[in-house]
Amino acid sequence: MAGDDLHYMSAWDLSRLIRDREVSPVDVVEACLARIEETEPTLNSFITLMPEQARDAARRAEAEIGRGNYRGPLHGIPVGLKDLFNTAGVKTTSGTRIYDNYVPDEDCTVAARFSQAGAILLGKLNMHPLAFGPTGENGDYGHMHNPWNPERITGGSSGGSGSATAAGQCTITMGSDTGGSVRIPAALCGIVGLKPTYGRVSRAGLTPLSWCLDHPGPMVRTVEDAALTMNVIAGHDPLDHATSEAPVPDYTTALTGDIRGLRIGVIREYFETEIDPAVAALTHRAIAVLGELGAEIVEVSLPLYEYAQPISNAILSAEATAAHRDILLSDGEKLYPQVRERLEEGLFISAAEYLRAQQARQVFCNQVADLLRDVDLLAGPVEPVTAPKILERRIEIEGQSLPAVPMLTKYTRVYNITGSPAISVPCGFAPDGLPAGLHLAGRNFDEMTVLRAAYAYQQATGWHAQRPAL
Amino acid sequence: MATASNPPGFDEGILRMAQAAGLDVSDEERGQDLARRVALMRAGLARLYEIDVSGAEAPSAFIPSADREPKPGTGRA
Repeated sequence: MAGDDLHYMSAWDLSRLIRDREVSPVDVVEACLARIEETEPTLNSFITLMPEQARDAARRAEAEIGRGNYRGPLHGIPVGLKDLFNTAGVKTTSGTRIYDNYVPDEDCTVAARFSQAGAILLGKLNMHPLAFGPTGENGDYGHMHNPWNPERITGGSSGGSGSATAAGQCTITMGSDTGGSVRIPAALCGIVGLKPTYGRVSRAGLTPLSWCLDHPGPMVRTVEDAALTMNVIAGHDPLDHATSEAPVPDYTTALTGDIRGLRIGVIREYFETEIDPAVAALTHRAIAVLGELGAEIVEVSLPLYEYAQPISNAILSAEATAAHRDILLSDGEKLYPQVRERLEEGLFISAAEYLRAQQARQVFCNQVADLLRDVDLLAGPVEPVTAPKILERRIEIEGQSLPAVPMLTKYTRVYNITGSPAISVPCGFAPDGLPAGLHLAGRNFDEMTVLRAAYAYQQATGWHAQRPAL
Repeated sequence: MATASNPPGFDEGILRMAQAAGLDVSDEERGQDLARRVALMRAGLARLYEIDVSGAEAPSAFIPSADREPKPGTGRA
C-alpha cells in the first residue's frame, strides 16, 4: 500500500490492516513522519517531535503483533498529544517557554492508557499558552496555521491537535476543552472533536486551566475514530476524583447509522445572536439532513443562554488565576500578553462572585437538563464564523465588528458549564473555502447517542473525507 | 482616572488592589489598561446578579452525578 494513503487513513481502517499484518506500524509511522516533514514548515503543529522514539515504538509494535500479541484497535496507531498532557521523560511545556525545561517523571492517565493500548506517540502538539485562548496563537513556539488556509487560525486552544489531524500528520490527537478548546479547532479545521462528559475521561496529569470546566477529548478525522479512542481513554481513574465509576460501554456499538426516532432540539437563541449567514445556512442544512435520516427536529428555547458567557468567564477566570497565580507573579512578563492580561483580570473576582457564578451554573444546568428530558440531543453551530485571520482581534459579521474571543466561544461554553458530551462534526464549507462544524450535545454520560447521530450524519454527507490542498 | 461608567476612585482602587496582589503597575499606561479591562470584566460579573439563584447551592466542587463523591486520599496531580 502506498505510504501517501496511510497518513490519511482512519484508525478504524488501519487497525484491521495492522491486525491482519497487511500493513506494518513501521510503514504507518513513516508515512506520518513524511507528511510532517512536508507540511510542518507551513502548519507548526508540533512543539516536540519524537521521530526516533516513534520509529522504535513502531518496530516493537510490529514485532509484538508478529508474535500474535495484538493488543487492540489502537495498537500501532500514531497519536499526538496537546503539550499539556504529561509524558514521562518528554518535556511538557503547556505552550509556554516558562515550562520549557519541565520533563515529567510519569505519564498522565490518558498517555498511559494510549501506551497500554499500543498506540505510538509521535510528539507533543502546539497550543495556545496555558490553554487560555480560543485562537491558537503562541508567541513562544509560533502561531498555529489552518491547513485549509495557512493565513487563518486553527482555533484553540488545541490548535496543533486540529492542524495535525486535518493535515494527516497524526491519526489521532488529544486536546482539552475548558470553553471549547477541542470543538473550536475541530470545527475550524474540518475534523471531528468530542468533548466527553465531565468525569468520563481522567484529567490526572494534565495542566489545569479550570478544574471544574476542563475536559480532555479526542480530535480525529472520523466519528469511528472518536469511538475507538473513547474505548481506550474513558473510565474511572483513582487519580482523578471527578471521574465516574459508571461502566464504560463499547462506543463502537453506537455506530449503527440509524437515528430514526431520535428527538433533536434546535436552540432558537443560537440563531438570534450574530452568526455569519453562510455558517447558519450550513448548520440549518445539516440539521435538515438529520431530519431526512429520520430524526424528529423540534425548536426549543434556552432563555438563560445569554448568561453562558458571564457564568463561564467568572468560573474560568477565577480558577485559571488560582491555578497559575505563581507564574503570573514570578514570570508574568514572559507570558503571552493576552494570556497574562486574562490571568491578571482573575485577581479581581471576589470569592462571593465566584460562588454566585457557581450558583448560576446550577440554575443554567437545570434549564439544559429540562430540555434534555424532552429531546435526546441539542443541535446547533459550533462557531458563528469560519476561521478568522491570525491575530485578527475583531471579526465582521454583516457589517458589525465584534470581538473575536467571545465570539469564538459563544456556543461551546454552554456545554462546559453543563458538563454535557458535545461533538463537532464537519458539515460543509462556506464560500471562503473554510470548513464549519455541526454541534451535537447530549445528556451527561450519553456519549453513545451523540456518537450515533454524528456517525449517521457523517455517513450521509461525507464532508469528513475532504482534504486540504497542502 | 475615573470614567463616565466607573465611580470616582475606581481606577485608583484597582491599582491599589493590583499592587497588594503583587502585580507591577508602576507603568502608568499599563495601569490604566488594567483598570479598563477590569472594569469591562466586572460589568460582565454584574450580569450574574440578574439570574434568580434562589435555592441553588454553590458547590465547592462540581459533581454532576450522584455516583461521584470526592474520595479521601485521591486527587489530580
